Amino acid sequence: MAGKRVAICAVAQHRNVSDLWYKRIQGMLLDCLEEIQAQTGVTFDEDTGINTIVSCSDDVFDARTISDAGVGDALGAQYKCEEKMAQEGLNSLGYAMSVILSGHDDLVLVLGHCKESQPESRNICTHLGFDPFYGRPVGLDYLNVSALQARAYMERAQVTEEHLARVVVRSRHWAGKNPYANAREMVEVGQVMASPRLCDPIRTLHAYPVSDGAVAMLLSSEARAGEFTDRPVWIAGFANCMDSYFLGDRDLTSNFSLKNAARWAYEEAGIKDPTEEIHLVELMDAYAYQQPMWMEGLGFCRDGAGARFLDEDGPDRFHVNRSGGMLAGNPLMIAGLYRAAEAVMQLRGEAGERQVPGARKALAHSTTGPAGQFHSVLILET
Amino acid sequence: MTVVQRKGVTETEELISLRCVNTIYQRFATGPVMGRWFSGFRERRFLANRCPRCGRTQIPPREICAQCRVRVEEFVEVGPKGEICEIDVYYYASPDPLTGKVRETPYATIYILLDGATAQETFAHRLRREDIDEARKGDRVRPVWAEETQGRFKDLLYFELDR
Amino acid sequence: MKRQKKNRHVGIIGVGQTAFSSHKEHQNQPEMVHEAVRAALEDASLGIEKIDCVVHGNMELFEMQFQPDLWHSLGTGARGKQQYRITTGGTTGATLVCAADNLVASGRYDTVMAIGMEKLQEGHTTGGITNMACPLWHRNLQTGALGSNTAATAMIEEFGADRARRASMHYRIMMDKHAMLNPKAHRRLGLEYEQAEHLMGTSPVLVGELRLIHNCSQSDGACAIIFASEEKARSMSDRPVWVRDHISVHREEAYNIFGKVRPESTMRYAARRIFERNGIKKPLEYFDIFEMYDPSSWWGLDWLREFLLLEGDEHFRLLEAGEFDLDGKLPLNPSGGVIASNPIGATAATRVAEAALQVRGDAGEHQVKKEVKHALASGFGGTRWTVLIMLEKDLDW
Repeated sequence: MAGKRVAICAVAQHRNVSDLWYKRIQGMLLDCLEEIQAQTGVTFDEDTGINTIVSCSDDVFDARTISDAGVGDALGAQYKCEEKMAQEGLNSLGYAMSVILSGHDDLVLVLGHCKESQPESRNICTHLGFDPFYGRPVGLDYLNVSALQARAYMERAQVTEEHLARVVVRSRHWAGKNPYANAREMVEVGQVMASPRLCDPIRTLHAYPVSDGAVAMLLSSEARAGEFTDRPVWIAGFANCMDSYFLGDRDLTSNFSLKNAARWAYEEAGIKDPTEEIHLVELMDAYAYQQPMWMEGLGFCRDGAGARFLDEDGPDRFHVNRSGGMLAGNPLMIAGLYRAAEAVMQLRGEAGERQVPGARKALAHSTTGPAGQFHSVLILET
Repeated sequence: MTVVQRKGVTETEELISLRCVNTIYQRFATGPVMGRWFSGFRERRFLANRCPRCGRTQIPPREICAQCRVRVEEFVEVGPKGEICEIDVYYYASPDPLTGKVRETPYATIYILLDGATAQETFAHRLRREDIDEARKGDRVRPVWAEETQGRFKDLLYFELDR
Repeated sequence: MKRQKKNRHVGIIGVGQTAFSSHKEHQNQPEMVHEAVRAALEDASLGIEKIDCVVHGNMELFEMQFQPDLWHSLGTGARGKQQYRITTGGTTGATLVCAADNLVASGRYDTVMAIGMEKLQEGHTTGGITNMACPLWHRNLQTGALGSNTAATAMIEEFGADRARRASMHYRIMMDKHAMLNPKAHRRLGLEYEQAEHLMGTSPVLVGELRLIHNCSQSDGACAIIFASEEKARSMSDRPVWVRDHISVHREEAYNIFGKVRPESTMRYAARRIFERNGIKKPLEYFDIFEMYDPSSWWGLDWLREFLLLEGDEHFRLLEAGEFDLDGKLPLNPSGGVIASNPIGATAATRVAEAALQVRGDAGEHQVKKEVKHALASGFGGTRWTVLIMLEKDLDW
């Protein structure tokens, strides 16, 4: 698709913290916006600057109807087009790609935010994702539904507590080298295995810490990328997919929607064998079991082979979550955007101590909904 | 209740509905800019901030000037008195979303151009109930503060006509 | 921004609306969504398998459902498909149309179904809207979306109280007359122009000049629209309605805009930009119908001047001469508009759906008699944002 590719020209990440009590959302967004402007020199000029903004936020988490309305100034949306992606933020990139390829605009600013520390419990927020008649009275939320999935998956893939503990230890190892990560303290296997149960079989250290953050990106058409960067990262493919809603209608270990999303994204990106062609994977692992499970869905190991994948150092071999992943702490609504941000930095050779040498193709993944009802896959390349 | 036709027989069917109040407590950050605004309230002062590029004052002060898209760092004091630019007198008894209680009607919101503010930005607040009938566009108003101020929005009770 | 060439053309090949009402206790949210989806698929003579991608939107804080598209997938048929969820408050329905247009025009999806919905009776509408306000301060003050009093007082100042109030009531009654011909409309009161005096004096006051009679409904309902690439549209439909262009104009919060210097409305700004770049000097002459998102008769009246780039009292004179009636120069809201029906997440989509039906000649009793080749639809919401969408009968621009 020469001459018709979409570039990510710049990325700005706000550091993930557990409680950003000292800054308003607008403050986070402005930090990111200034960073993008500093990196690229982009303006909001009517002819040559940003005229389209794709924001990403969630009204329930923000406790604010039309959550983009309250931050319109910080989004740069004054007398501009602004559209709010109300799914996980990675989908903003997929949508922005379509905006540019449609010809509607050749420059898009993506800005996402989420503060999990603001509501008393993120679990109450996700609890509201279940239908009022059945799911809610049962008391479901994304945590306990993930626990159900974790139990089913661990059994199917023979993944043990020790496997999960090693996933967490590894996450901290890389997060320690990531100045944007939240949970950066080293932990040991024994520590993880002894951490209190959150929701059986998920232990507290298996779960991503409550986090606040924001991410901004500047996307442009191929023709204009050179104005803003000399190291554009191209979007080679994007796809997402929805699974059934009621848990009972799904096989929680099937990775149905992830496999579809991956397959379509690989197809668009011309990838025949991801294990050969993808140099690094950034996936949204809210809970430790999700790392091997999503790797199965992405086609990096066979179904049910999660334990072996981990035993054979799969995460290291495929450079999974060099950022520390979501396990190191990103807010739910933009964890995928953070994954894409890391992937972009890796492909630009800007990942410092975390750098995967010679990385040319990367995969960023996100999931929205309970136990991966909806997955999104983004393929990036230089 | 709803009427249903089933096999030629008309029946009345009771539909079940669920009532539920969802409560999620929130802790909203003010950040340094709004925080400074509230500090001004503690001292019974109105602090706006001023865009370094276009010079417009913003009240409440905001991190950014939406028009210029630059960070705004300079604070200026405005008011305390001002001119009514618009009045909205409400007769609709809407619930106060923060307390659930129904507001007593009539109540009026006035849009005030505080002294020293640039012409494009008004500040919205309540007008003293007893002044509703008399107040007109162009009238001068002054703020009425709580006896004890704590650096919160509620320190400012309302505005009244500056007779 | 220098105009790009649209990558490929996009046509509307199916629309489906539920009836709008405040009594949909017989349906839950996915069921209501499904009704509109089924109607759109039937209208397009398509099976769900032909849809590549779904775009969903509503204002979730009304129903207090987190990520409602996940639950509504039961009704949208999105399982196994790609899906986006884009929400922009009251403009959501129009944004969904813009998004679907972008997605199909990009070349990445051939058929996209946009679905907007709202079940306001399952929440508290004014409370939900008041939650738009900043919790640190303005939430103590805001009262829902009752903002058109300032427009009313401005018109009274400019045209005199008597003329302005009469015009606003005339507008209101005209909208009801249109709604009476639309079986989907929520509130159809059967108003007559002779009742104007009585209503002006007796309808309960909400705020200032805005009375209950002037104000929009709170409705439940859903609207689904199917978009296809030019190639697919031509093969799947004998009357595709082409999406020519769209523009969205947002702005920062608007509690502060009442000073001595007032900003240009996003309505006028959007109209200026989109008409200029499409070479339209006189929108009043160019368009055959206008489905405007009018939250109240005061705002609707005021915005006629903004959208049609008129001056002075042109809009009043046109209204008073009946030029916005169904047989007028520019029929306005043949569907009855937002005052008649307002299922917020769907409302702006319904404007486009109704405009498309008019272009097709399919609107039934409220169909405008003259040929409709050029249609305009608007969305409103958020902090006084505007979306404008242009539809065309023929691909000849």
